Amino acid sequence: MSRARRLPRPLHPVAWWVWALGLAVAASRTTNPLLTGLVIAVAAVVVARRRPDAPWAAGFRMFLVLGLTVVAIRVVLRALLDGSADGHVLFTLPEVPLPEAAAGIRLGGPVTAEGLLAALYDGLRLAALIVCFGAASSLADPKRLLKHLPGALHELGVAATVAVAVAPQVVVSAGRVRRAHRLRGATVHRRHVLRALAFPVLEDALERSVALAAAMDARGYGRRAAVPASWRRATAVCTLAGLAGICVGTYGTLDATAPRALGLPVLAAGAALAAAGLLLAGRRVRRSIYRPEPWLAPEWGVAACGVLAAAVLVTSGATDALHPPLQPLTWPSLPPGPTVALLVAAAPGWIAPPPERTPAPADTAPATPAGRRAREVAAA
Amino acid sequence: MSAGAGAGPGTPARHGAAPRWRLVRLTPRRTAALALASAAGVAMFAWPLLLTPPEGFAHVTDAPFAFALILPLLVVVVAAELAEGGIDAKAVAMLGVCAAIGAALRPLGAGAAGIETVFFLLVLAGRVYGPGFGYVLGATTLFASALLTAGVGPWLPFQMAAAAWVGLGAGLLPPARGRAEVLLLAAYGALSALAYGFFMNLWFWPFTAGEGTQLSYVPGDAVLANLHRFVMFTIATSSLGWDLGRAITNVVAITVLGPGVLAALRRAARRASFDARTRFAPADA
Amino acid sequence: MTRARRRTAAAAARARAALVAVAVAALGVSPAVPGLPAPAPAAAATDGPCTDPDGVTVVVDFQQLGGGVHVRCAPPPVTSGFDALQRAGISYRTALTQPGFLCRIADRPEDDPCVTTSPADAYWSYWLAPRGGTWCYSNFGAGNRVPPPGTVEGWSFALDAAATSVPPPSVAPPPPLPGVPPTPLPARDCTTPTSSAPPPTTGPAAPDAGGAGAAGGGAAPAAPGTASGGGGPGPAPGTPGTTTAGATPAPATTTTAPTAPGGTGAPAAPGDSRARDAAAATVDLGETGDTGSPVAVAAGAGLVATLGAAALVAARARRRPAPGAGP
Repeated sequence: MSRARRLPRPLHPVAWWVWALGLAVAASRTTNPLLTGLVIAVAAVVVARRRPDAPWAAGFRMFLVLGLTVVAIRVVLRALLDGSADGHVLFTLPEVPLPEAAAGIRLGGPVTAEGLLAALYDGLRLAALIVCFGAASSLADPKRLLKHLPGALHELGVAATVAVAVAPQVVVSAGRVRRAHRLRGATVHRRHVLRALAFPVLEDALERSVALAAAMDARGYGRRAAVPASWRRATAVCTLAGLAGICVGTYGTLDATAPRALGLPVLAAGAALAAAGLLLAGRRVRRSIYRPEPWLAPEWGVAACGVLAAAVLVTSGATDALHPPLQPLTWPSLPPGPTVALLVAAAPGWIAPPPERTPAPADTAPATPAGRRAREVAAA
Repeated sequence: MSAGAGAGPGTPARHGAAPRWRLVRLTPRRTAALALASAAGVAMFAWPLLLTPPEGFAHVTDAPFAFALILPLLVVVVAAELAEGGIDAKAVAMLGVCAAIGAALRPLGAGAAGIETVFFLLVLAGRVYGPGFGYVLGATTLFASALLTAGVGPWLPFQMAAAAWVGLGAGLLPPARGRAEVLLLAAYGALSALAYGFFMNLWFWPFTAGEGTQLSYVPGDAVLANLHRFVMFTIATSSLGWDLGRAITNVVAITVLGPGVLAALRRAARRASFDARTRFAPADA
Repeated sequence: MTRARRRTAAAAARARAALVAVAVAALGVSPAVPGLPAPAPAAAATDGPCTDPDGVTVVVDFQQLGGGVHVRCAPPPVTSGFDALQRAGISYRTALTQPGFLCRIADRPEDDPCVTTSPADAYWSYWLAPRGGTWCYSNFGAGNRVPPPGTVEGWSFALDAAATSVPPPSVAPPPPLPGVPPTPLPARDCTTPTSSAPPPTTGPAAPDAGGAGAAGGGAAPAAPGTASGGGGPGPAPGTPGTTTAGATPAPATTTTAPTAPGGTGAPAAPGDSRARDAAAATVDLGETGDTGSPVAVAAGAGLVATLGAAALVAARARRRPAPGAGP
């Protein structure tokens, strides 16, 4: 077992997403800048150590920049448009009163330390959330993830797979059309260049879709298992009741005049019912997964780390340690429990098997269009 | 050929009108699911205007996170409902290819004054293939483009839901032909672009402005007051410019490319025989 | 190999030192660092009612929290209810997400997490009175009004109080200074017990409502379940500039208001005052609770920096070709 762990293999994508979502939930429970900074650092370490070499995994830096931008926007907006002048005034910006139509909003004015710190804390929390999602999308192969969608979404998953596979081909075909124009020596008037380029590409893509549909149909795609009518009715009832519960629960959460029980509990119950309906509906789809991803001990470990971080932060309640107060101005503290839980959440950087350093051998394109189409279907 | 979809998802409409296909039929069950999900979805987008915290509501800032968790489930459940009767291979292939074109078009305009090239194809395909297909196409296009550009984030379910509504609306437009159809679609394109921007801004407004600024939303305040602050925020962050850019892109693309794309899609539907009815007969000796 | 390791270790150490310096500099805005404009000096606060005719008297009654009644004077100029507390040397804390809502005075009640508004069964209520007058419930939050010089401000802790019987501070407002006529309160500041007019509920759009909006107990607490637009001790932004006078009867759609929010505070018996003084002696009004120390911040920043350095090292190691990889 340990030999299999040390061999490079991609981790199950759902394990990475569970870890990332757990970390995101943990980050959303606190405004302590030390803890949210720790979340960002943990995500960065795990991505740096276990990111595969594929091109889709190279976008983590963008998410870091995006998080930084969010923090900057928050702080600048707060400095320009602060609503109150209570507290330690750091400096005063020149005031620019806006016309009456803008409800008398005042630009500038005194900038307080409390205001800036509040904006910084909240912005860091949002940045941590964004970075967690960025980590998940840099670590988990999206195409592999599509294989693990619930059964009820099988057709849509296939459609998404087709979309992801065909989109680069659309771009290639556009290049081909332009080359054909040049080879023909046709001079296209500037007004018609868009049409001259767009329609051949569109026709090519639509033709490809018809051929793909024929190939899928020939391979027996789209058959549905026979289930009794009572099963289908049960599925319908579950799904519709779940959706109704979500609708009522949403409005109950938002409305103050509704009784307490009509808010979050109904929302949660509706969500559970809808998920149950989803799982029931998936029973009609019988499909076999080509080369399913194994779920071994490293997957359990990675998922457990994320769940642990979320559980520790959620059960810590709302305390001073998790929400450093701003009036009176207090130094943020480093609570031992959440800190250890977040440090444990960095363990996937060592638990997960190392990524494959060379591109997967299956990337060699087959020669014939039929073989390409077969692979598109098989990857679903 | 395929027993499940043997009934044929399309029926030519009344004589003289442009033929319409319904690749994903809207049964009463699916319509109910769509209606419920849309009602809940609107609340999840517009919660800054609707939220009035009750007594001791200690989770004012938890509502958006809870909604961000539930909305993906909502989109997924409705999509599964629409696919429940079985989408046949032709519809899946058409869906995949249209989503692929949309996803390939999306990076073209990114970052330049809000030029969003993904919506005009959504409107046109929704018009030709029906509201159910438009809904699913919107969700799939945004999902596929997020996968391709590694733009998966907490905003993705909201983008998927909003784009799905745009596609749904395009399918529900009244029948028309020729120039009137193109004008109708262009007008819808402009309106839907502005509505899309409005809803996405509304959802993202508390996250960008935070609390405590003069442009932040104040829980429990009057709807008009919060709306006023939201409008100021939209103008201040020049989101209005982006939305106008998106609307203009839609109108121009639909007017210039619309007739050709509509014809191409209809031709493809005819060639693929989306309205073919299969019939099993005993083999004659 | 050792040279590369030394280089990366040196880089990591440099990064760590830089990050710690930045963190200390950025977070050096604590009151302990000189040069930062401090809040109003507490040394000028005096015990007992104000002898200065322009000062604002602040009365704090801990009620069931156990801390007695304290009367202090805030010297002029006083710009808001919060400023009055600061100048009187009374430490308070506002809610994290509602910066205009007062949730603790002298760090009590300790079990209020102060993340958002206090629950309706345990919160600090805000009272106003002219000198020698009777207590009346304030319509505005402490951050939303300027106390007229010479008036009295009261804070009374309401524990399990029904909406119509919130207790005012248990001592009467101090009598006016000899020879100085008492400054009256503006009519709209108060919900007087004799008028049955409800206070303003859904406040109109206010430019500064975001920051100082949520009233710190300034709006009448509506009975649970009947609040429509922002009732309760929670956010009900009232603006000084608007004319939502408490005297005009509000439309029927607004929240039901307490008709008698507990009018005059009867003077207490002598025995009670001895017990009260004993209780008052146990509370230090200037107690701010634990303000933490920069050591934790430095430790946390160091941890973050270490992890960041590890990430950089791993990223740099990835760029070098892996030993034994294919041609």
